[in-house]
Amino acid sequence: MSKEPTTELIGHGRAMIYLWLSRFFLERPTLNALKERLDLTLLKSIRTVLGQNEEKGFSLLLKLANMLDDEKIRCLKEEYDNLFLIPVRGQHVPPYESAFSEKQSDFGDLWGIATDQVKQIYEAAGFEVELSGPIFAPDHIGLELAFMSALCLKETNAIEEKNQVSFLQSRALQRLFLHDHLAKWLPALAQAVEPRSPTRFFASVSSIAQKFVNEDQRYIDQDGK
Amino acid sequence: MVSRRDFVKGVSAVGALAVFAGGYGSTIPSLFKVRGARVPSNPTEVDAEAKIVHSLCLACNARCGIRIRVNNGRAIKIDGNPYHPNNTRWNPLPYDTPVKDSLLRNGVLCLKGQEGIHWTYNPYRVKAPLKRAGPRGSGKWETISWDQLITEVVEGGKIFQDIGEDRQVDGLRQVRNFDSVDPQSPELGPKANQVVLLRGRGQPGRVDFLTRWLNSSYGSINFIPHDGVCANAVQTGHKLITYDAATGAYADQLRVDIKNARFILSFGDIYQGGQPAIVPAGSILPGRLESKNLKLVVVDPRAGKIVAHADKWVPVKPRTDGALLMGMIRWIIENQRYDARYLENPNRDAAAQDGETTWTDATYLVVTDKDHSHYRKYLRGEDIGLEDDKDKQIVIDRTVEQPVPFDKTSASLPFWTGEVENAKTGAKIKVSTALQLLKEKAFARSLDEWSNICGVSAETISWLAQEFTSYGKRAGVLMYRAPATQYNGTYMVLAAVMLQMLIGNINWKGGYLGSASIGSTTGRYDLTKFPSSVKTKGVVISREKTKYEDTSEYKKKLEKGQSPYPATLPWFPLSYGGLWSEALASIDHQYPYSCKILFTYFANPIYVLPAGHKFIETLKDPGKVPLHISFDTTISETSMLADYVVPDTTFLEGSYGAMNPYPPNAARWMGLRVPAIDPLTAKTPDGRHIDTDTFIIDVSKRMGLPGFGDKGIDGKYPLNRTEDYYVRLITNLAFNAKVPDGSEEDGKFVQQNYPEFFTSYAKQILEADEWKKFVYVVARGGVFESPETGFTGDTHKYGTKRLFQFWLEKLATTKHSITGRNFEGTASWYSAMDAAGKEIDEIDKDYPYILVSYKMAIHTQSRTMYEKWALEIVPENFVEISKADAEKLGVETGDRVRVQSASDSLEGKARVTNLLRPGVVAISFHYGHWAQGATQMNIEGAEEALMPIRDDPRLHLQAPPDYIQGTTIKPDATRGKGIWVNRVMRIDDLTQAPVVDPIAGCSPTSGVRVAITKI
Repeated sequence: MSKEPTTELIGHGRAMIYLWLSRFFLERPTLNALKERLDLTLLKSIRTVLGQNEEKGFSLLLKLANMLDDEKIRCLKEEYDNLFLIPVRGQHVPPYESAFSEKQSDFGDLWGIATDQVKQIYEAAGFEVELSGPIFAPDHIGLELAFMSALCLKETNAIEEKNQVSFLQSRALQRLFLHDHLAKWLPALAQAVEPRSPTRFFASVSSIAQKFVNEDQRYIDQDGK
Repeated sequence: MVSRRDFVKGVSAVGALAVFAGGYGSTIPSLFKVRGARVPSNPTEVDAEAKIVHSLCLACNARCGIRIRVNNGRAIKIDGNPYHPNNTRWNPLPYDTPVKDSLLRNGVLCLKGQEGIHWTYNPYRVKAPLKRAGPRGSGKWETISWDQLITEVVEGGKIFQDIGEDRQVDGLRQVRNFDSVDPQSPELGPKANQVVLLRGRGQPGRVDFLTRWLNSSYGSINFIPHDGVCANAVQTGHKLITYDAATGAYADQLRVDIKNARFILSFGDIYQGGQPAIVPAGSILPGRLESKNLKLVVVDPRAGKIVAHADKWVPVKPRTDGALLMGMIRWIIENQRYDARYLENPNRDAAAQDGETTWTDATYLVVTDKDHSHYRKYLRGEDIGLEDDKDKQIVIDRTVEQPVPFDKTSASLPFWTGEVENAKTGAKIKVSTALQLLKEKAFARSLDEWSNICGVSAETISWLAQEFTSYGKRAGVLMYRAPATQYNGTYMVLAAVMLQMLIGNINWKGGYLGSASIGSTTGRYDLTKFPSSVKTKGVVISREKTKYEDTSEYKKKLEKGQSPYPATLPWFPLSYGGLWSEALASIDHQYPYSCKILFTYFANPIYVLPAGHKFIETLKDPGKVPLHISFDTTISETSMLADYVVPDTTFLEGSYGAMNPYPPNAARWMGLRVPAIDPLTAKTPDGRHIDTDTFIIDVSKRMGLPGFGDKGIDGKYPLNRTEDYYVRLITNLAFNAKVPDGSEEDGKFVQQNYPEFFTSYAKQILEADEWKKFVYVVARGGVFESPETGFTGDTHKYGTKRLFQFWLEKLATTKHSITGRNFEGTASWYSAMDAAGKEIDEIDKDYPYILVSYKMAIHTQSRTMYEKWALEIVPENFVEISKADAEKLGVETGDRVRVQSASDSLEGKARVTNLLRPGVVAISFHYGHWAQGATQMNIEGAEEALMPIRDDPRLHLQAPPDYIQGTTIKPDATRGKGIWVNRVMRIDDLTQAPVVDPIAGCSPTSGVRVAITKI
């Protein structure tokens, strides 16, 4: 019978997956970065987390990992730009929570109430977010995923330091953040990306992110009971 | 769903992977840093060094709110004000949000606004008074004292004797004379009118102050804004359509409701050079288009940035937008897609019964009988023998189908033509309704013929008309200067507004909206009144707003039995006004009278006007311009031709004002401009900062002019320094808006963050109750109502509630002062013509291409070569040529080409593009400067005169490190790059000035015919 993994190791794994996901949204694709991110061992390990749930998306990533070249990267860059940077009608998906949480039809205003709330949660966790380049608001999907990663790492540090209060605070914030924010709007983002992803790459990544966040939320909820 | 066991197992396996041991761990700290005390949520409490000021941008004229961050006395960052609707997609913070809470949110702001710091700390900025030390334009200057400046400008004398000019120059004191400037032509007014002020960028506040001085205190009529090179045709067209002869009231522009319209027909690129500009339009439209609750069509020969968001781009032939609109009008009338119920309302009461706030003259009868004395005028009661209603317009009642006064029926026929009878004399009079006359103009050509003129297929014209009429009142036109400032621009504007009158969208949510505002020059204090104020008399030197037929020249010609036409130069009686090119042409021709003193305020006509370089010799000639004083922040292409440069403040230092954005603004939004830092300009001997206001005050006090000094305001309050006026203006705004009293926190915020010279003086001169309201508006950067409060149901509460006219009686009865022919009285289309009435396309037929210019979203007009970041993005401009034309010409991107017009030529680097209609060439504005840091100058006392800041890398300043060497000022090569497009604009053979629209008088910087050759 195998030994039950430690909460610390689980926290570390969760942190890494959140961070792995966040970088797809935060960084414009480059050959070196994608070679690193689409490492076969890594991909296969992450695939086991979601079981059969996301077979299609992982198959595409695995296939892509074997055929990465400059031309593929050019296409992925173009898709990234069209999806997340250039506000061209029909192609663009604003990767900010406010655009989804305050929408009247397809997309709502940026810098809305959700933006302020998210910023306040970052601050409550003791973090100051660094905005740079085209990532101009704290409720960017990449930042929210990275924030979850930061909270997971904070949790592992608390375990290491045997700081029960810090551990519980981190868990409470994770629960709150997933419930009120990340898990709430990520499905809508994935749904919006789906028809606008001609290479299927960002459709797959968004879908994987959505499924992972969904499973992670179940884990956090169950773990707290 | 994954089992918990599998999930835990999976993530643990990932956690154990060696691949994460490397670079991944460092990413999180780089994204999320542990917060320290350095991050201020309330800068007044947490960070004593940082200050936050809410104010109003002036990088362009969009009037966006700004939040300026000031550290150690220097402005280092500019963001949008979250209270201002312009910066928040019309979703501002509630106005009563405590200021400390507002600091959690920023509004958006464009690059131009953010580059305000580069304007303010521009190394080539002038901060001390300069006097030329060589001939005009020589680039030789000396720094002079404040007292010398004031003395010489007021008293005149042989003030240039030391550089070899022995002439006697009249100062302001000598020219202020109320004898007739020309006793033979008394209508021209007094000699004081020989002081002419060309006003460039002007906004309420400063403009109120300047007009109060020049008009009411000094007594010259010649305060001439720049509208003629801006949106004058838009304003002229709206004014003609909405003008109320009884009250003189009118609406000068409306615009489609960008937040609620379902269909927008945009002429030109509103992001790049129009209103509402990039910040409000560029933030509202993309989201709405993505939501699919708005359809946007862009009509423009060149695909500007807005086309990226559009459903359709219609590459119309340049200056034929009016023909496209006439085609649409034809289709709408032919297919009865107009709002008949709206058009049948002949008066206010009938409109009100239909829930409308405006009504039209569609059904008013117009005399079409050429022999009738009221030919081209409305038929009035007296014409048909109705003595009791003799001044009233007549309509055909819908029920009885008989002529009745317009106010005696609730529904009348919009399409009717026939004869009516004078009940007294029995005489028959041929008449048509106003809308019938528009119909005849639209039906004068078939759809295919309109299509041939504008180069847009008949199918597309039909589709546009169908779409435009498919959204009820939630459709409208977005336009500013690009389609209107054309040789035939006024008629384009008339057609665009009448198109909207056909669907009755005026004042409706999603339709055509005007402005809402709150006054600030009267109220608690009357800033307009003072004892001995002057009422100006005479004729504006640019020949605007006066009929040629009222001049002595006209009458004398008649007396001599000569034809009165042509006039010596054209007159523009119906123009909205602000005709710089005509003012300079008048100065050049010394007609109708000569100029003695020229002021240029925030104005660079030499660069901005089409073919402005033709006026360089005029401004150099002391015989035509004996004295020229420029108010400027740098030495521009125009101020380099001045005798004196008075250094002015930038929008971060002053240039006070209170104003609403351009329409559409749903509710009352009044931004407030106040200083964020101490001005960097030199000080007067008594310690005040030098700027335009200070100059006006000191000149006026030296001359003893009314309206200035210890009882300058309303005969009760002092006007001895700039803040005497503007602190009271802000107080007026606060009281007129009925804002609540500011809290102690508001007072503390203002006093701790805003410059002390401003706040302490305000506290000193205001009563305690005034101070409380003052700090409330200053702390929030103005007064901002919630957008939704601007609508009562679906009607714009602040809309203009008046008659909109299809038949423009004043226009129809006005004659072209050169040809003597009447203008058309309703929307129509004609080809571009010069002053003598010759068709431009005919006289310039050897030049096969049409050149259009455009503005960029990252630049403003002529003055943004200080924009370091914008120049990094686009260092120079190009001659843009369509791919099809480039192939014919054998030109590739990067080749040098010559652009030749009938008037001049230029050379530039080609860029081949698909974003242009074949047959059209495009060059952006803004580049190709020969002043403002682009050329070497010599200044005695350069270190004192300029803005050398070398110790603050946060300011990212742009100049060679050793740019001041003794008296020599070295240029910065990046500021002179590119092409000055105006060089090739068309000079009129008759006036030797730019060709202009004969009604509005506006001077187009597009539409000239050119030839292209590869060099």
